[in-house]
Amino acid sequence: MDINYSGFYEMINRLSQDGLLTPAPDLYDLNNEAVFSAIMNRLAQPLPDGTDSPFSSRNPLSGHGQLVGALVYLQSIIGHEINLIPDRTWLILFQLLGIEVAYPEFPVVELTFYATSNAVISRTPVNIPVATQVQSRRHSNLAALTLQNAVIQGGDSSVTVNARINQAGTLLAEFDPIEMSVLPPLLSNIEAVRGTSIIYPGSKGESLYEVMLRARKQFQDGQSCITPRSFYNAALKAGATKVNVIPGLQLDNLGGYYSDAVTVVVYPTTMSDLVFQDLSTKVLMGDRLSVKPANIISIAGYLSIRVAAGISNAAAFNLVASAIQSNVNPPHGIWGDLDFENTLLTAIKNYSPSIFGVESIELIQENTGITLAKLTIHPWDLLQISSNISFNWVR
Amino acid sequence: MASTNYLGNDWSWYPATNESGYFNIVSGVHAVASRILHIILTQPGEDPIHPGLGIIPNLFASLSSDNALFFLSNIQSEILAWNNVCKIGIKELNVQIESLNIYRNDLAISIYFKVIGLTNTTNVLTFGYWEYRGVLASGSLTDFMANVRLNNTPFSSHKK
Repeated sequence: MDINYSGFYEMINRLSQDGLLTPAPDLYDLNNEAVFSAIMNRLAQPLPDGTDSPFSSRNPLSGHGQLVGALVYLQSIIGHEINLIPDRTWLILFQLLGIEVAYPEFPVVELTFYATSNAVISRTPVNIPVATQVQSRRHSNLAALTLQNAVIQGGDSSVTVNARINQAGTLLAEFDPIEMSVLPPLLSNIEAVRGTSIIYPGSKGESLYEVMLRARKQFQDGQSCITPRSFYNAALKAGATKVNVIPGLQLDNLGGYYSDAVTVVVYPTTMSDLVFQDLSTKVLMGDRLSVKPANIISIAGYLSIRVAAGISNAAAFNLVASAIQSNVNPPHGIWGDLDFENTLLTAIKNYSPSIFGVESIELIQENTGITLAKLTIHPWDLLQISSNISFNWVR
Repeated sequence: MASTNYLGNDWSWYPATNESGYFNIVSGVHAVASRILHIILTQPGEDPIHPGLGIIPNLFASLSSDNALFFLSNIQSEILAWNNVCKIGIKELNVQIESLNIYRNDLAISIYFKVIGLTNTTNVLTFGYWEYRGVLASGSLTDFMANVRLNNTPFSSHKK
């Protein structure tokens, strides 16, 4: 069977024309002695209970010393191989991940051309053609080339035009735009030229290391959603404050379980459309994504709470209300909390020393009146204590 | 034994496990003897990051080309060299060759050594020369280890 390699060679060929292959730092420094003594030192640490390590001698003439030596040697072989990976391979790997190296960019400065007094008085228009080259007075190699045709209209004394510097990369620290003032020969009716400001300072190209950092950051940011964690981070970044990622479950349409389906449940409920728009561009092609607003279950009922003797009903209510607001109600609380009663009791009891505990409790769903124990709680449910809950204070 | 704490604990490969099947962890004089065994039973190059370590002759080295006396001086200088490099713990060293049984042409190598930090006790590590030369040929340590003795007791019976 013939394998068609032409695509690969075409890619190599195109990469070879790209340039900017910066020398990569060695990934492994091959200092065997240092690695050996680091591992031996680690082995010689006393055990957690304080007794001597059984491998407390750091001697290469021991069984563990010889094994560590072999390990370090194998590691150095792998390190050597990694160091041999050419930059071009790294570039291809990065390109497979959709990450291109940023190339150096030219700085752009603003030049102002002044017409001669004769031209101004005689109202003669003066043309400055594109790519007019203005040299620097201080740096002989530095020049700026105008980016478009410009005309000093009859009667005007000057015109301002953008020009790019002839060297890619960032400008020198001592660069001052005013140094761009050496007129090219044969430019008629121009009295003087002067650089006025830096429009864009240019940028030097990315090194492989910087590309690697950028790639890592993109993964951390969830630029492509693959793992549940990346879905989670991306949804938070898109504006949700509480997110639950349920892999495998499809909630909309038919419902059911699919290996390629991911359901993302978000709170606040109004954010679901926005989050869907954001995530649908990052999900792998062909994967099913549904973003659902959290299902808020409103809980009412009756609580009998023992409080300190010196505390008024209103103060006690405020304490319990803020305990619920800051620990139980969304965006706090737990997704699909099957032990909601306990969560509520703990939150109330731990909030303030003036609240001694809950004597009795009866929780129902606010709209239907079904008791909490009989409710079916799903992972996409968030329980919320309604303002209609009633309290009885015991002292 | 407190004065030999600086030696630390070694995992000895001779033998690698003790009677209970656990790591054979040794210390003190036993650790020093184990280190000497590590030197004499390692082939040069076998420990890749210490390529000079070891003295055991090649499998196909001629039996007649080097004699026991040559080996004797070799082993002495090698042990002293590694004692300098990685502090085996030897204070004084003397290697001797003895005829165990003149009729069987047996040769025994006795390594007399004193350990830094201990009182002037002289320890002796003894093993059979021809059994030693046979380790690579037979590929087994069993015959050799059977006759290795530290202070006149079998080496493998020493406890930590």
